[in-house]
Amino acid sequence: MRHSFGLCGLLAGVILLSGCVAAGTTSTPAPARERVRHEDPAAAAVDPDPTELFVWYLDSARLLSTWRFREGRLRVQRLKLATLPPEMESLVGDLGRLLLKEGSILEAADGWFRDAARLMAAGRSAEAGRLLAQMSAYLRRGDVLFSDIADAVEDLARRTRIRELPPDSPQRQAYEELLRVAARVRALLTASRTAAIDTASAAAFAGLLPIETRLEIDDPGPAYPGRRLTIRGRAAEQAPIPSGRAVRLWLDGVLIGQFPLGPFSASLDLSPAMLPGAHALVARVEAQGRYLGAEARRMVTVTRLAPAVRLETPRYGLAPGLLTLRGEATSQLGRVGGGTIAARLGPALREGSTDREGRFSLGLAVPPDLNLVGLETVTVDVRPREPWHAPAGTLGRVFIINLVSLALASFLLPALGAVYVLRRSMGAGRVEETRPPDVVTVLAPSRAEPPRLTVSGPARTVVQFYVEAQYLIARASGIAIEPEMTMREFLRHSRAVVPSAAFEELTHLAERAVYSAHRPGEAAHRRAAELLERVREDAAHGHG
Amino acid sequence: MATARFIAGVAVLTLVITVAVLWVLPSSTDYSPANPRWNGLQVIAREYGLVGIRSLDALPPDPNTVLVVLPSSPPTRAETDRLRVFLAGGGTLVVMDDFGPGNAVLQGLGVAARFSGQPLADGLFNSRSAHLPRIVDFIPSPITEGVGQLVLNHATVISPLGDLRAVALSSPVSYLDTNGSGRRDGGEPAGPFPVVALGRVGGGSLVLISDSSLLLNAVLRLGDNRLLARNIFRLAGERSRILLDEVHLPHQPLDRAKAVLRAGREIVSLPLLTFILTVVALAIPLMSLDRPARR
Repeated sequence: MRHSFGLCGLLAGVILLSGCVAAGTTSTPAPARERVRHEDPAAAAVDPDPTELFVWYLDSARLLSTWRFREGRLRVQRLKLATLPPEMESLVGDLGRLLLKEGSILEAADGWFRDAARLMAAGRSAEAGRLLAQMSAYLRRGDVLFSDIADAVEDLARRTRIRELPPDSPQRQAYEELLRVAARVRALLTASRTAAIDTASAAAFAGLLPIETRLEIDDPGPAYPGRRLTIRGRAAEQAPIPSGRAVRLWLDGVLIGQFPLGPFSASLDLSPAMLPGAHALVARVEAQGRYLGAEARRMVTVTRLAPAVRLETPRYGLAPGLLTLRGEATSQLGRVGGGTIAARLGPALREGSTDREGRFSLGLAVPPDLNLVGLETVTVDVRPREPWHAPAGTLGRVFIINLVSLALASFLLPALGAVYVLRRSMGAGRVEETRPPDVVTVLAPSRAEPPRLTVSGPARTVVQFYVEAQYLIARASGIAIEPEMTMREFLRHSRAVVPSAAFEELTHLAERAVYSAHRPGEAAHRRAAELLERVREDAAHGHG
Repeated sequence: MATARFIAGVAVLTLVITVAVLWVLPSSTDYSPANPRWNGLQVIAREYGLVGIRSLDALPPDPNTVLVVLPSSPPTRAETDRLRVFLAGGGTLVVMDDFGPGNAVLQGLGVAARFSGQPLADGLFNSRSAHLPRIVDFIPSPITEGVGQLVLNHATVISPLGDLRAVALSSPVSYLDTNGSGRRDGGEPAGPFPVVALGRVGGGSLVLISDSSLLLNAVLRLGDNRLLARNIFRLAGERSRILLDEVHLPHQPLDRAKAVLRAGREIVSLPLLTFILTVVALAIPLMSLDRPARR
């Protein structure tokens, strides 16, 4: 009990001490007052600001009202990524869909007016009339949609309480500006509907529309650092009088050329240090008066080409020895001239370079390394000098005959054989030392039967004597020999009925023979035989 | 004699338990690669085999190496010189900072770009909070390929950009929350602002991210942050080595204790010492076996 308390106290003390040390290391010094650098995103308070929606809608409406329909639609679609209060998500979704439809109607009407004007200029008034009739119905739908948009914006304004914000707040100002832009769009819709009534009005209206500018860039294909890249494209404006504007071309934000409207082509040598991956190519024509601006974007994929490396290796090589490796490195962009070649075989490394034709020949000194034996892999890495080539490599297989291993084997095998033969011849005297441990099983199922004995090794005789003596004592005393009973337990039980000093001594001898590392010698055997005779007498007379 | 043995036993047991507790106890230090909590870098460290370096002297001028710097303390002149050599050797340097001393690194490198130090907020495009802005505008570049959105965490913006190129911009409704109100007020600068920039500096690549938290365990999984990290690490090649500057990271006593233990383990794992310890460990029980048994 006292021990248990002591142990508990010790453990508590140790844990307390360890805890103090560990707590000391985890304590954080009081931080200086500074700006928060991060917070747990999972625990961050949700605080979306839906009044910002008006700023976003204002931008979208401005784009739509200035004939930048595609950009306006993309802006509206981008709201899918916004974080909104759950109660407004449905309203904002509906409003977005309405705006997209309205944008499509405005874009279609613009296109149809221009087509109708072209048809009339070509004298195809009947076709132009049919187009205008179709457009008129379409614009009526646009008018209805506009009313729905106005209702939705009003609903949003009520829910966000935008009118309660200070007049100078950017969100409130955006809301008020949005209402003004919406009024302009509605006026445009009304004017379009009026103009669509007859061909003459439509032609006059089309003449007032801003002049479109079309701009395209062809896919330049893959580009390689340090090599020439050619970019082609075309810009056109459908105007009776050319505006005289220019196309400007940028790669990664750096102006690379300026061309008059029409087909254009620019060639530039890419920087050898240009990073592989996507790069932004942008062409732009600025708006000017009635002439609309245009922008075209392309992604240029800069890549480095890994050359194909061909390697010729001999079928076999010697270690130590010299392995001659030959090969060449080429790619569809040309040969890899002056590139660095590194050949490896295990710990052996040899560097060289390719010639102007991309060929190489290397003598790789194979070291006397014991691990190099049999089919081994030769690695050849190529580091090209040209910036458009990526590092490449290849593998080859060579059968290595290791002379050191062979020499060792030819010495060691006979030596090991000799040792084996020697040990065999000396083995007889040492058998005893390597004998398995003694195994003893004593089973005495009942008093009627003599015990069965399984025993091996030098303990056999002593234990045999003991078992016989035990049987005699059991018969004389009437005590059953239970299988789970130890020798000492049997002695204790029998001592009360048939006391025998000889049996006690024989029990000790048997215990030593069976359970200790001590092996009984001849003297022990003799003594056990004597003791058995005395036990026999004791059992016959019933006394010790 | 018994008292001495008792005290020795308590001391040894205390030492063993303390070492075990320190070894097992996870770090909770900001930006620690051993920290598995939300504010650690364990996830990215495991995914990319991030190796922490405790001295910039060990920085190899290797084009296949990426060094990530999250400065919490300003670098010395010698350290920025090391960084310049690293860049000159073609290495890729990633500086991620918001309100720390990142500008000291940029100044030391002779780069005109700066972290503005003003908090970026976005009331519309964000992940729960205006101070966790969602970035949705990207310019094609090797590091933004496939990236559709990023989520920052108490970030700033890059201004001016200098010779670097902006590749990710905050939304047009983002703003600099200069008065800390959490709402856009009149007079506060409005977006878009550059938040990720890329450029070639001295033969190497320099990547600036105006948020020190993008690689944190809890932030990495938001948006396409993980993809951005992968693209940045691939700038130095497919089999690049990613190093983390631990010199300028915050440290707690636990981290120092763990560092001592790691150093100890490295010493113990030297072949000769392992051999000696094994021999000693085997010899002690053998010697006790040889001792005569007490009756």
